[in-house]
Amino acid sequence: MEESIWYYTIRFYEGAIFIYCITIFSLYAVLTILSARNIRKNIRLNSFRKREILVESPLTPGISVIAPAYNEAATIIDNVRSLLTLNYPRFEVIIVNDGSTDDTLKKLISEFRLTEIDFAYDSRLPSKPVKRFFKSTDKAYKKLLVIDKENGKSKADAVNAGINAAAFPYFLNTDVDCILDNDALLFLIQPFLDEEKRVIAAGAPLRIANSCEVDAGMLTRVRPPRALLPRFQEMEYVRSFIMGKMGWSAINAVPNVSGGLGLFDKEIAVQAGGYDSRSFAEDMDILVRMGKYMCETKEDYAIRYIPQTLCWTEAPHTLKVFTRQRVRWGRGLVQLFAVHRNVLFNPKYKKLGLVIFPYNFFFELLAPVVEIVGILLYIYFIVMGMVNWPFAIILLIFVYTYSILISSIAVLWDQYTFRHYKSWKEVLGMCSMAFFEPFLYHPLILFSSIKGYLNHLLGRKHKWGNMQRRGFKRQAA
Amino acid sequence: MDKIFNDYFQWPVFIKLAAAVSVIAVIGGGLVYLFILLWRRKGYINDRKKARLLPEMRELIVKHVILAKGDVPLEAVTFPLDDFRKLGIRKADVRRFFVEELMEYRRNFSGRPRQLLTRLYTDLGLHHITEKNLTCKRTQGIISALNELISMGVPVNEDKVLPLLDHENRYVREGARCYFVKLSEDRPFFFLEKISTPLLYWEQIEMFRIITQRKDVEIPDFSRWISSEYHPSVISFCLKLAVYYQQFETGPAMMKLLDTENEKLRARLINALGKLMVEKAESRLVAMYCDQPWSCKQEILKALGRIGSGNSLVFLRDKFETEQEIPLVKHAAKSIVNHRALSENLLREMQAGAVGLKHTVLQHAANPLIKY
Amino acid sequence: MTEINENTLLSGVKGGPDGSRPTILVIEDNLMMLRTLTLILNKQGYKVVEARNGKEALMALKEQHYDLVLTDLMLPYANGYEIIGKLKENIEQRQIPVIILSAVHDEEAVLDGFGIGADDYVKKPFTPGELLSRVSRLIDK
Repeated sequence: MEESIWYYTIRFYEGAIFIYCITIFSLYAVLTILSARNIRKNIRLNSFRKREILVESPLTPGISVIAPAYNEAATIIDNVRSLLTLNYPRFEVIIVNDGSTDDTLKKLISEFRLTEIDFAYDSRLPSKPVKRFFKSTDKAYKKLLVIDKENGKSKADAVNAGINAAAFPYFLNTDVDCILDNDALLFLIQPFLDEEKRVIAAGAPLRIANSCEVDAGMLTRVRPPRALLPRFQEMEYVRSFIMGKMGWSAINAVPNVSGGLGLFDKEIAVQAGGYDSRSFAEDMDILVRMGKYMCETKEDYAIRYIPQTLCWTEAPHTLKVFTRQRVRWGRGLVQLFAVHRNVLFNPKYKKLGLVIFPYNFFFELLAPVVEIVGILLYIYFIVMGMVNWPFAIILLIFVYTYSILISSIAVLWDQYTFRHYKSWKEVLGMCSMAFFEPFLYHPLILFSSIKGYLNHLLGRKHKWGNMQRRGFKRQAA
Repeated sequence: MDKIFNDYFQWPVFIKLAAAVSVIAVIGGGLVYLFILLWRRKGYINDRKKARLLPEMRELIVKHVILAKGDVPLEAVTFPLDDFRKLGIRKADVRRFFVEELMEYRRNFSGRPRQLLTRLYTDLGLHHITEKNLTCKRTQGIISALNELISMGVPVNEDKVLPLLDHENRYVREGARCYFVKLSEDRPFFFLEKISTPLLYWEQIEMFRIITQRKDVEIPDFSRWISSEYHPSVISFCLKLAVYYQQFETGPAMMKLLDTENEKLRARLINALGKLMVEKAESRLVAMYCDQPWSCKQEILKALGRIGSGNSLVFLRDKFETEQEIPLVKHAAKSIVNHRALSENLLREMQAGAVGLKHTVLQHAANPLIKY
Repeated sequence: MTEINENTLLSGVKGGPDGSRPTILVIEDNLMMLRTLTLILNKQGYKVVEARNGKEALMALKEQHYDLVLTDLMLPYANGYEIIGKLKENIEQRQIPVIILSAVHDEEAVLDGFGIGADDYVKKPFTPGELLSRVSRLIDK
């Protein structure tokens, strides 16, 4: 009797895994096609929509660029300069000094001739107390506003303070050390201006800046990371943004706009309650709340992605920092589903409840669990001599070649968007990561995700730590 | 090989599928790498070609068009067409570079050089293909053709463009509307009558630019479209134009629409009334304030500051003292400040008496370093 | 004083008393516009030094003297206002006339430009004759 229960359990699980895999692979195929069509549409649109007319027009909406800074003294001046010189006619740059213990603020005050001012601050969104506000006495820096506040131990807290002080109807959430394309604002505002539905957020791909050459905040040479770990991350980013997010954007089912670069409708973000500083996945969390708010007020909305890479960021280059980051992401995902469990399968929340949440629940959240259980089962089969080796090898080859194909297609679509990197060798070097990913990188992701889930379920405290920036490769003066 | 082939048909379905997909994936992967290399090579060759041709093109355009002497009447100007043809503009890719350069020059230069650029474009016969493409089957072809005609300022027979106003593709319809606004001699604004779906913001920006740059056509009184029978986006667009052209005569039409139930439109109407400084609207705005949603309250406070007649200073001060929401208090303060000389004494009085948050708001409003 | 019209302008400038040609620093990040401005000014007889962004502009200003600076507003690294500001702070360079050439039509941008010390503001799109007459007027001064 016991044996037959076990037998049926195995058979059931085998069948379930089979359906699970077929579904996930079919979804990747669908995303591949959707992203191709969406990218093509976007490229064509850009061929006749001239962004320069936004620069001249008095009707172009204003944007508040919000960038929190914590102990960034080494690079703050160059970074703020590059934000101040973005190509856009109406914007402000709000630097939130999040209780830095180094001389970040002092450097800002000196370089940009800042003076302390009285500011009518509306603390609608929760954040740690703001101590002081600064504006420049020099007209050249009149777009800059610096906020000095108590450390809130999270980016969410700092961004909320920035939103509270923001003057314009849209805000760009970015990190102060991200290098943005000069036309980033011109690109990102387009989806907001071009749809009948209200677009509440827009994002664009991020890339890894670890081996790029940077001169005074300006990118002078783009190349894929030389070190293995960041290079795997670049491959992953390309696949996730170009293939994943562009595909989801085509059917208006984008799950997340990255905190490194996202343009948001301020009114909706405020109505949704702003960022949650307790969340480990604050960027996904705010988007869910914004979506819920729109569904509750019965207003049609869209979240869009554009295929142009507009932001370069430094990726963790040591295993320690990398796993810490991924553990946090894993934890954030569990927390998200716990906090917003009423959204799952709820028709009130339309696509959010019936497409985005189910997909992320089954194929993002549960994927590591399914995989770990599958691996354990496989070991059991091997030990019990139940494996049909020829078939097993065929199946493994199938999974391996399919994943390489998907990753390679992602690189192709990315090259179609823009011929990133200088030589074909660099491109193929990137593609080659797909061959090693299942053996080297994927186990890391798996391990980190499971650890993140366990940490959350067991209520362990998360150690934030610093990014431990190495700084970008600086060009010789 | 035969054995594998025979065995294949005996495998379970999903194994057969897995094997087949693996083979396709390997072939597909190879093809993908090939495409990447070919695509990059094509792009590289294109870039090199462009880098070689562009300086020559620029030299010719600057010499014969941008810096052409102004003593010859426009119609009598001749270009060394052979020199331009030697660039190889018969080939599709070279033509594309060349036309893109011409369009960019036209965007950056005005007056005579701009007209000469159009002359050069038509003298070289480049408009023939474009006109033909207006009726091609590919939607992208039609959109590119419309865009090129608009950018180069080349009018064609309007009957070719009229049917495109009802095309199934949204971007073709937009392009056709832009064409009429830019190039139609007798009916540039008639597109406003035909709009039944929202005029999207991007299109408004484009149209606004085209209309405000056109010096050869009479600007109508936009009151005609500031009426409830038109789509709210059309009204909103005309409000922006009315403000730009400082059409004070549109004030009554705007005030008539203030009772609209559309909150967003109401906010825009109030905003326009403020920017046009319609004094007659002041008392109405003050009277309607209490019943308005937050967005309209904000616009009313801003409008009263822009109108700046002095009649609503008492109201503004009252709102400054009584409103709880900081943005509203801030706008009331800013509007008082915007009265300049008229509110100097009042401001001094308020600053002397204000404490805490109210004092901060006043300092904020009066500080020239803070614009918003 | 001879009347300046498009024809006299487009036939070239006279050299200085020692025969040297005036040098203009052109700061513009759009390559097509930069090359075109250089061509236009060269054909008029001016020597041109190009700078594609704020950093190159500030370095160029340290290297030699200019008779005029023609700058865009929105530039990478340092915007036009900052460059003009730094120019006007330098005792040796504050007399150098500055023309802003920009696509931004905002009244506020124009006022800020004059406020920070620019001598003229030309809005894009523009005619070369208009630009050249302003350049000539400021250099002759």
